[in-house]
Amino acid sequence: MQSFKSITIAFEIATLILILVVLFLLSNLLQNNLKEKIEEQLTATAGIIDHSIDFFINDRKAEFLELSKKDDLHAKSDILPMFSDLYFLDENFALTRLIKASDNSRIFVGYKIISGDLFDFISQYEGHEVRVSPMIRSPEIDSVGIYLVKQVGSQFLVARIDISLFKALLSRMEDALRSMIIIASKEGYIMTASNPNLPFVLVPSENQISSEYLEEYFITKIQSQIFKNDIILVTPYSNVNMPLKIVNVFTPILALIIILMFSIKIFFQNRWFVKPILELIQDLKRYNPQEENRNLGFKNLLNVKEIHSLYETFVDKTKEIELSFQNITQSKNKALEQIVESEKLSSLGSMVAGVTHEINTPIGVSVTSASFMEEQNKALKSSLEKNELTKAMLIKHLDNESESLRIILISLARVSELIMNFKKLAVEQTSGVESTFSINALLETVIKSLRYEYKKKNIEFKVISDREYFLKSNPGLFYQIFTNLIMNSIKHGFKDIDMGIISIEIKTNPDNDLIVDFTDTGSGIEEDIQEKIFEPFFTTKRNSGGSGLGLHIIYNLVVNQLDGSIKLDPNYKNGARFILNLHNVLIEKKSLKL
Amino acid sequence: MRKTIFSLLIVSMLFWTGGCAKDPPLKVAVMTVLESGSIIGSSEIDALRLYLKENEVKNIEIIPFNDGWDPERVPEVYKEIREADIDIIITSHTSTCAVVLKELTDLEKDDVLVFLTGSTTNLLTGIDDNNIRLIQDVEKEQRSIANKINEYRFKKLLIIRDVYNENYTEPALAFFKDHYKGNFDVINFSIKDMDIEKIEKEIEGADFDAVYTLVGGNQSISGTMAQLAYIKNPKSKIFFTPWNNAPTVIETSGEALSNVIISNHYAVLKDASVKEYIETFKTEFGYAPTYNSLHLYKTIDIIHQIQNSGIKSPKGIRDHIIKTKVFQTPFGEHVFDEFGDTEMELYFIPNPQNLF
Repeated sequence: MQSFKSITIAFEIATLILILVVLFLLSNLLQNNLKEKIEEQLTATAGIIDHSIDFFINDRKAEFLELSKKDDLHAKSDILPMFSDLYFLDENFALTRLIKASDNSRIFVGYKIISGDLFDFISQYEGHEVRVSPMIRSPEIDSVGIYLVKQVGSQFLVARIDISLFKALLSRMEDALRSMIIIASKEGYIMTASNPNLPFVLVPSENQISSEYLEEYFITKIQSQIFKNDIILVTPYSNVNMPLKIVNVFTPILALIIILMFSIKIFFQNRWFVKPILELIQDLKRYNPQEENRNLGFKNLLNVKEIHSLYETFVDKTKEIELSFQNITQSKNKALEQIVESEKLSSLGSMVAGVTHEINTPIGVSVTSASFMEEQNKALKSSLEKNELTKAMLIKHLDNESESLRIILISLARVSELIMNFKKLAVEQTSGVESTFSINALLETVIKSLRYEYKKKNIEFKVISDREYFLKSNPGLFYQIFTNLIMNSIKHGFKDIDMGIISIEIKTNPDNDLIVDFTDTGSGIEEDIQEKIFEPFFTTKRNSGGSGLGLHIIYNLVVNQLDGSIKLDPNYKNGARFILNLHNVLIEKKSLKL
Repeated sequence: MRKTIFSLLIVSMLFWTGGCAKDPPLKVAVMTVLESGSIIGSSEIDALRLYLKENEVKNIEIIPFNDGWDPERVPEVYKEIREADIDIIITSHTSTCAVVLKELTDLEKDDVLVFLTGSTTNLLTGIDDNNIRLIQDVEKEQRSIANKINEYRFKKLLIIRDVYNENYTEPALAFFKDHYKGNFDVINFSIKDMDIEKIEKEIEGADFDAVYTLVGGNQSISGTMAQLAYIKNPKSKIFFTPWNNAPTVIETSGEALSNVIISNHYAVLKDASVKEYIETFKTEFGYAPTYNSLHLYKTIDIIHQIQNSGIKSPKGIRDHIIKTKVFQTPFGEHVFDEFGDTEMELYFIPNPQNLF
């Protein structure tokens, strides 16, 4: 079971996380979208650069074409300012003539170009048009150059564009576009750049953070239409990414605001709802409808209509429940009293049945004897009338009559005794009056009264007592107790057993409490029900008509009425053993009459 | 609820600290020339990239720095390297640049380690400093070349020397003279301030049956000089230093290439591992590298070996090299002496058309 507090906090956090995830996803989406737009824009810009280079080269091409038509080229001024070198190569690619703008050139008349990038470019020349080379490595001090070539007659005319002018063009474009421009070889190496102070020495392959400048760059690469080098535009984010910056800055701020708002919400939610409800629960636990002054710790919350209504409803319902509980308890007690009375009457009824049965035998015997006497008298009278009566016959008749009378007297005495006993039992059991009595005698009386019940089972009784114990108490209670104990043993312990022993030991303890140790050699009580045997209506013989009240009544009588205790000995395995401990009932002990 | 949040926090912190606890990669600076798409610099950087890729090395980071092989730019570039918290430097620059760099690194002897792959100056030989040299010094180099040229018993040798890289060429010439037994003349020039016509005239006026271009730094000027010599004497043998094993030098030599005998630190034509490296490089990057790039490839291999044994500090690496001395590398055994210097064989390759 989850607590309200946990559920609300978990829900709020889950909602917060969901919102943050959505926020960052949207932010990423927006950033990617913006980046794409920027990259498109920069690609277009790179195209513009390519066009500018195109114009630059075309100017040189036009100039070169003019030069190629001249025969009298000799001076530097003929090639300046557009070109730094002009070579005349024969069909073996050896320089036959050379015009240099710089004195530091490494090329000389007679120099042969038979391998390398320049050789590859010139040797692949076809036709009669001016061809432009990519930016390639030049034999001049390991530098680079853009070359133009045209065949003039049997010679090749090769011009190298003044690279400083080209760099100046790139530099101007960088200023205008606020992006560095790199001309790279296909291997990714920088051939030349608009800015000697690049933030990296090798062209980064992807947008990457420069360890020096800690800035990200947009790297836009296109292949030049004029030469086959790559034109790479390196644009610092800071120049184009204002919208990106806004998104980058705004997103975490918004996230923080959302987190703050949720934190405040959770705080106040906890403070104004969860905490008071928890206090309400604690107060309700302590709620006692009997108290007039109730200490309420959540008075503020009672200003909330729903909470107040909840509280009032709780109070009303509690009272109703309490009232119902009282009624039920009263009804229960009444029903229990009736059942106990009914049990009493039932046991009395059993006793009556037992006594009736017992009386029936001696009365039957008496009637039989009286009938026999009547017949004998008739026979005697007949003999007398016939004058057949002899002395011997008379003596025999008198003997028979004496015997019959003796039997009748004994039987009637038995009946009288039974009735006396029953009367005593019935009176004492139902009178409810406290008196002094011998528990030993009472026990004997109960045993006799139940003879009919136990004789069928061949149950032997052993009453063990070293003294005669006189009690001052309600004898009826003891009749009930012993009757129920014995009947319980007979009905349950010896249900499937045809013979056994019931031992009842009466003794005292050092505190002068009366101890009754009741054992039987029946089937015993199963361990799993031992704890329940004194509960009302608990029985294992419900289907056989058991009420489940026998032991409960004993318990009730011993504990509530006699202020004693009764326990089942769980360790006794030879049947069932009950130990009764009764306080303040013993008044005298006497030696037993022999 | 609180327990769940607390547990999540603890787990997150463990991941975060676990991530932070990982060792950062060892940063290695490469000082080389990268201007204008220089094949020198690109060969060297790509050689290192190739090594890292072939060996799946994740714990070394290569950071290139462009000094243009200009001694005047060395201090500024060195400062950038140190500001980037890099302690290990591989250089391919000339001896002149190396001498300038040494003055700076001497000030932080145990905090910086420099691997020299292009500087032969004997000013750095036999010194207990923070330089480790992957190639022999100029004396051993020039002795080898002189001994080779001696075999031919030329009548007259013409030495064409670049005085701009004097920290290499001046001692080189001195040591060459000590071991060369024949007659020779010297023509000096400077690549920074070159008058090709003047040189042309000097060569035209010289008498020689062999030429030795005493030029370093993979300068294509060697090719130009070879052509000039060839025009004057088409039968003259032309000797290059091992610092001309670059495609641009070969390309600019023209027809003179057939007379060229180039010295090389590796048995290029015989050693399968060198050939394999060249071919793999060409396949990977689409162009042929300089042979100097093999020095850097070997250097990063040695650094990686030492790093794998748990040593990363400059002093630690240096001490390990001095102590261990012999390293097995992709191009065979490499032996250092007690000063971190090296002695290597020189091989001589005639008509190096197929070098790349």
